[in-house]
Formats: sequence, structure tokens, C-alpha cells
Amino acid sequence: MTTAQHRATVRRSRPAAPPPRRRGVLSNIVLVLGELLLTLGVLVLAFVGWQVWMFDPSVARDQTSIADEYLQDWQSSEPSSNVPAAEDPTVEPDDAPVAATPSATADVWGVLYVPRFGKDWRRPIAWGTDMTQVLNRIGIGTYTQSTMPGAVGNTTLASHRAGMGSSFYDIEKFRLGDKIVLETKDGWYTYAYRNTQYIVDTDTNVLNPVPLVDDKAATSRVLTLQSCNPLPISNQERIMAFSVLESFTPRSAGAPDIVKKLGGS
Amino acid sequence: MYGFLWRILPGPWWLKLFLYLLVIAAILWAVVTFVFPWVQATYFAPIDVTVHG
Repeated sequence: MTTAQHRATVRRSRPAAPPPRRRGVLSNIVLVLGELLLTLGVLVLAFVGWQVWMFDPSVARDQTSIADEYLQDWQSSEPSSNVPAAEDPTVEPDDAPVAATPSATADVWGVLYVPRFGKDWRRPIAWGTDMTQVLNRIGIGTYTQSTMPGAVGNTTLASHRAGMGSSFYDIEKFRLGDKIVLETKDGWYTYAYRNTQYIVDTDTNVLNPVPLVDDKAATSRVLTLQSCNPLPISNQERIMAFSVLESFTPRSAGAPDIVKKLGGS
Repeated sequence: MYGFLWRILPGPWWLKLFLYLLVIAAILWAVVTFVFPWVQATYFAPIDVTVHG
């Protein structure tokens, strides 16, 4: 190969300057469509993350701060006339005062503590089970057929399992004897968890004085926590966690140890 | 879409990058503040939890 020939080969094999890239209309449409679909996918994932890690916890925080407002007020409120002025911190169920029946829907009348749900878990309890006024905003609702804590019968509280604060998310995790404390302006009702039952939404006899039993006079003071089942988002069934009143602590005697150990105010 | 945005942004590459991230952050903020709550309220209404006859 002569030098001239060699130069010619090099020149020829040098890549030509690329022509300016011009995409057709169709390929532009496909490109933008693809980018939009990818973006949409990312946004859907982001929405799920937002729901679980931002929205739901923020609703739960709002509900907890409603509870804290009432706890603050009750610290300085006068006890009702039926509350024993006992210094004895444990009043037997038979002598527990009956909490006053609230007068209006969405009235907050109690705060629930469930140590099994976490150290910082406390939620306000409102009157009625209205979806928008009570369950979505305040969190825990009370069936108006309920007897009030302290009275022989059944107090049934309902709340969301997952979403809108997820109050009763861990309702399946109760163990026999777990304490549940319901604070009112008069003091603390301490219940012990007994059993769980699964029913459907038409089993309204769960609200009976003796839950799920018709025409029977009640002898014990039951607290029923109710939510939907199964997780994460189905309401095919209802789940019921039953507990029985163990003792009452008047406000004058100070909070029971279980409550003191929790993170509340 | 993303390429087009990159091309219309002015300045040297580091300014482009900064503006690009700014635009994305602004869009994400708007989505989280307005779009997600609207989607939640419209398509993810809370389900019924109570018992009733």
C-alpha cells in the first residue's frame, strides 16, 4: 500500500459528520407518551407512599391533639356528683360511677388508651357513629344504643381499621388480659381484654347489653371495640374486641399506673 | 417532554440543572398539596365500618 493509497483509506473511513437528527411526528408522539406513562407510574407509587406515610399519620396526629385538648380541660374540671371522692385508686366495678350520656353527635366524652396499640396511642371518643362528623374526623365513635361506662351493659365503640387515622389497625393483636383504659372527665375506667369475634355488618345484636345474645339481662360491664376486617382495606366483615370493666379510678386519686407509663399528657 | 424542558432552559449546564430540579420540585409540591388530597377525597372515600340493620 502506498502512502497516497493509505491516506485515501483513512480519509474514506473517517466517519461522516452525523446528519442532524430529525424524529418523525409519530416517534415524537411515542416518546412523549412513554415519558407520560413513566411519570404516571412514578406518581401512582408516590400517591401510595403519601397516603401511608404522610396523610394517614397526619390525620392520626390531628386526632391525638383533639384528645390532648380534652385531657387538658378535664384536669381542672369539677367531677360529677356521682363520683366517689375516694382516695382509693381502685373502685370495684359495682361501685363505679356511670358516665354521663352526651347530648349531641360528635361530642367528645372520653379518651381511649390502648397500651397494646403503642405507648403514644390515645384517641378521643365522640358520641354517635356518623362517618363524616365522627369517624373520619375525631376517630372513635360511640353507638348511641350503648350503655355508658360504669353501667351494667355494653359500650360499643367503632373506628376505622386502615385509613383516616387507622385508630384500630392493631385490633387483632390483643392478648387475654390486656388493659384498655377509658378516661372521662371524672376519672379512668380500666378494662381487661377478654375475646375477639368476627361478624358481618348486619349482626346488630352485637350492640345488645349482652353482645350477640338476644333477650338476656346483662350482668357485666362490657366495652366493645369494633372495626372492619380483613386488612388492609376490606370491610367484608366486622371485628369485635370485647373487654370487661375491672376497676374505676376517680380523678381525685390520680391517673392509674398504666396511664402514667404511657406517653400522654 | 423532559428533553424539551432541558433544551428550553437557559444558561450553562449547572444553571439548567438547578432550574430543572426547581421545576420538578414545584410540580411535586403542587401534586402533594392539591392533587393527592383531591384524589384521596374523590376516589378513596373511607369505607363503612359500622354495623346496621
